[in-house]
Amino acid sequence: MKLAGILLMILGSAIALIGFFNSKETILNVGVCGTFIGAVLFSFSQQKNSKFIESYHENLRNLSKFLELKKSIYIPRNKHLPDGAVFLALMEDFEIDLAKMDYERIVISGREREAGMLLKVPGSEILREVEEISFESVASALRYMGLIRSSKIVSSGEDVRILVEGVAVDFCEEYCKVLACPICSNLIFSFANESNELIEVEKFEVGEKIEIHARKIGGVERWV
Amino acid sequence: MGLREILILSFSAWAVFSCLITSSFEIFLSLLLIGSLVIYELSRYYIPRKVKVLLNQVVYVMLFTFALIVLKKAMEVLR
Repeated sequence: MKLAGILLMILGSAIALIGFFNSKETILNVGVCGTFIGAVLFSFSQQKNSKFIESYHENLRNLSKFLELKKSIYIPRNKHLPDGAVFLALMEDFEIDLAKMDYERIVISGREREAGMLLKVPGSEILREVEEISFESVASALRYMGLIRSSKIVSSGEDVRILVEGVAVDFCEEYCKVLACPICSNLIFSFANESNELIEVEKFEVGEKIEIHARKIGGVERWV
Repeated sequence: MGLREILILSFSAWAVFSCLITSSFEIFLSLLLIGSLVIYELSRYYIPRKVKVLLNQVVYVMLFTFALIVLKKAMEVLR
């Protein structure tokens, strides 16, 4: 819509100029009409439908900051957590026992290294839009919804790098390594699900594009 | 059809209608300005702030052109 608006404005202006120099008011009117419609299209294309995410994300982020959580681990779908989950660990050198986890217990207590918070993947409703949860299909769905422009994954051994461009939200920060917004959460989770391994997020680099540094930490069997 | 589509269609339909009913540039621009302001004012409450800022720029450009037309007409009368 943005591109259509710009094209219409350029085309309209060109027609208006032709009409002006040839002193033909009808052509001038058509040009101005095109420019006006282009400007309206362009203005409305700036409307972002993702603003509603911000307040939910902020609440969760404040909660995780208050609880001094340190990092996030994305858990693929498994028999203990059929929809998958994200575990926000209290310690850097965390431990996970998937057998003890279920959606009813949000706060995981017990030994300090096992402590943390278990959440369903933020914005996991997006996953209902795709037939198969793989990185490519989820990225396509996000692109279709206008939430990202492009995404790429670079995986070598255990290390994983996810590059995201043109994210529709503007509150990205380094703290997203503890709690990512629904957009990045879905991308990371989809990769965890595709590789069937738990993914530990190590770093978020926020610049022109978002660069997520993560690590595969083994399959579900290892953590039960 | 969402509210956004309805508003885009309303603005566009009014622009095309104004263009079709007159061949005079001055009348066309006046009609376009008045119609757009009416639609804008009626839907102001529902339009997001960022879109409003951009639409305001469009309205300012049209108002400026309208002022020039009025000025031109006034000069013609005075002469």
